[in-house]
Amino acid sequence: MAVSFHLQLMTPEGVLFDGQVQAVILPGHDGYFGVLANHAPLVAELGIGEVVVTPADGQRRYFAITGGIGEVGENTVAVLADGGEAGEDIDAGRAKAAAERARHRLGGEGPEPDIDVQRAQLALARALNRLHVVSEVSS
Amino acid sequence: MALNLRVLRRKIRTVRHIQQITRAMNLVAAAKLSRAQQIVQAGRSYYERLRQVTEHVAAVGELDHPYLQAQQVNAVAVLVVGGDRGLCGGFNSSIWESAAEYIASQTVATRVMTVGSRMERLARRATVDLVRAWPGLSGPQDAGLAAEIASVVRGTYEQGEVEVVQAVYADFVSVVRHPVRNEQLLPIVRQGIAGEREAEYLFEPPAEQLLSWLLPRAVDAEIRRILLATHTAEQAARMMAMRAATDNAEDMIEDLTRQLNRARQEEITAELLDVVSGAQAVGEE
Repeated sequence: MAVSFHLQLMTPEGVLFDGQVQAVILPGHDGYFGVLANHAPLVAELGIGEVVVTPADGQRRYFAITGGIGEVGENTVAVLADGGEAGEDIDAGRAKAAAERARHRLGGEGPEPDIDVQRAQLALARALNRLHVVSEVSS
Repeated sequence: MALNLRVLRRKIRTVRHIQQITRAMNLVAAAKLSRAQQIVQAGRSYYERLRQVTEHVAAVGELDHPYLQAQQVNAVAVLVVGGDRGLCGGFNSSIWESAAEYIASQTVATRVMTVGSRMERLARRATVDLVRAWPGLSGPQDAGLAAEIASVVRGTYEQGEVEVVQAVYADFVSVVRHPVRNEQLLPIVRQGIAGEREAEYLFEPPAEQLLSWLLPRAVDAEIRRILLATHTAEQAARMMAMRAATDNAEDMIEDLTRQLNRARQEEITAELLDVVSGAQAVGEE
């Protein structure tokens, strides 16, 4: 049996995951990276993306997070996300609507020319990320 | 005698009306408290862990960042966080007392920033240098206020107007425990640099970049936590104060009712005496 370590995935709104895992994949600042047991201590900035958890016993779980920080300690990993949702809790319809809204705002010929482009882009990235996570859960 | 009875009856009615109000306020505070408490509890492990991570990173000796440098102190900013409304026992005054004590103990210039209109009022009455005043949190989900306060607080520090930022607030431990705390927001306190922790951290992105991204967020998060804790503690304090007031009103009503009954008895006795002695006087003739 593979060596496991303790993973906590939490947001200001609550704890999303807390348990023993074999592996976790995190959305790093410069791309995804995986963490296995006995990883060297690390502090990493996380972007908007997907967290893939392989629990010690069984099925993979997927989470969408909107950036945060990851700390790898001595066989413990803490993911402190600004916000996040478990794949099974994501409302695909709402995510789709949010993506549409953001796309419309970025469309250029929208009614408000002075919209916050950066904010709309972030909203789009978050919505697409959630849709991606949903698709992985259902596949 | 009859006058006394009327006065007592009126008093009982008044107390009963006040009791209705305090009972309603108790219920409202209890509802607000349970909502806020849920949010506090949900976020507790996040904030605790974020603080630990920040401490771990800050303890890595060779790293440097303005938020970690203790400098020669010429001025201090104090962020005093309280409530917008009263009727919550000694909640607001105990926060202000603690802040005032700290301000009085300073030998350097102190700039005061307040959150909550009660704090503003107390600050204006005292002779302190009030530089900024915000209203209190409108609800536990109010994220905008914390962001604004955080950016002002960090700006004041970054521009070198002050070298230390202190926060005085009421923490929420449990419904019956909300101690006033005084903690240093900036610079971030470095603990155990003396190599008690020999963690060789890798940083991603490189340390300097990571620090200038992480540390401001840690400060923002702490301010968010402080505002939420104080808001929750205020509801708890109000709920307890209003419950005590409702109980006191009950005691008062009992007491007044007893007085009323005694007065009524006395009146009846007096009337009876009148009748009896009157009858006797008639009989003797």
